[in-house]
Amino acid sequence: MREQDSAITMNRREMLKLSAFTSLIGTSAIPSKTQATQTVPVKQVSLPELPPKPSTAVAAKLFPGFTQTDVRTSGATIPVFHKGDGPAVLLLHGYPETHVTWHKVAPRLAERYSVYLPDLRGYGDSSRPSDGDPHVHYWFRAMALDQVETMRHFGHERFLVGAHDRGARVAHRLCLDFPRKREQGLPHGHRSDVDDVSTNQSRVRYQVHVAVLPYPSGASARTSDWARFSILSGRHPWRTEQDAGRPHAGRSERGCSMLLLHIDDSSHVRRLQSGCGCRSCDGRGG
Amino acid sequence: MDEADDRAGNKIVVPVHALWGAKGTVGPLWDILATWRAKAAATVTGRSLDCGHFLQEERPEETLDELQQFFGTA
Repeated sequence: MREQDSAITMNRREMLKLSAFTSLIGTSAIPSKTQATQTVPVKQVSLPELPPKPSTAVAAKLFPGFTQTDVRTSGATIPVFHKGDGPAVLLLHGYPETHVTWHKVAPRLAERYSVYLPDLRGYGDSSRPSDGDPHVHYWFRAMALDQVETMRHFGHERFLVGAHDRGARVAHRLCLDFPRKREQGLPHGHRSDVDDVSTNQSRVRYQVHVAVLPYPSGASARTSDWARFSILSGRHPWRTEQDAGRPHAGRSERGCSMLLLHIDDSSHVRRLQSGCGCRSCDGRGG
Repeated sequence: MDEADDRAGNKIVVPVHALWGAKGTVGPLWDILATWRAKAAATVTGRSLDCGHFLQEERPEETLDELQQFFGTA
């Protein structure tokens, strides 16, 4: 059932396309264009608190008939459960979840659609690239690129997206980044096919994106709301009420949330605890 | 980078369907549809389900229906 590391073998044309895209987004946010085009070395981390991987029998029970394929993107290895014929649907999990969150929905959806269930990089059984500076390898932009490359691996240049929680932020970034290439006027020959992902017949569905999207970049939420959200959600136990009362507490949460996967890395823990001092929370949407 | 896109007027160009849990912490705090409409140039629809944050696990049937209905119009 499991296909071992059926990595993408990119030909020269695909590499050129990818380079064209990356060079573009590199002008706006990613400091080094090479960071997103080269395979990022996997940081060896120790996560003894994690339970052992579930057996294949568990996967077969939760996702009957699904096949797992490990897709090697330009920056990570993404395990994907997939099944079905019909229009392609990519379902993205949120935080702190994995693809398993879709187990009550995906099997039936696969009766009409080709359903793809990845673990976002750093989550579940995906690889854990080094963080980069400033955490560039865990920006939603990098995660969105993973998913575009993953779907391309399966032959889908256009697809539907269903996303939950932080996965919806990845989907949002996917929508904004890829059309932008076209808008910025790349020569047609260099335009990656993936810019059609969010145009034409494609539709993107955000499921619950829980308002995490309208994070308080301005007057969209009161500080007290953020404090309330932070406390009620219980997602960020390292943050104290005093932290939550600070003007940018919510922003810090956003920037750092993905880094929980590196919680064994003491430098990251310190960064998380530093609240607004975190370099990843300064509006990059990481 | 989201803020940069907001400033530049870059918006989602595909239809968006938003769902949220009525018993979650988000619905009471924000106007979900208005928020997405401000960030999307295309149609934005959506509604709340009678559950908390994890719709796909708490209300899988409704979530599935919403997915199929929305995707079916693609």
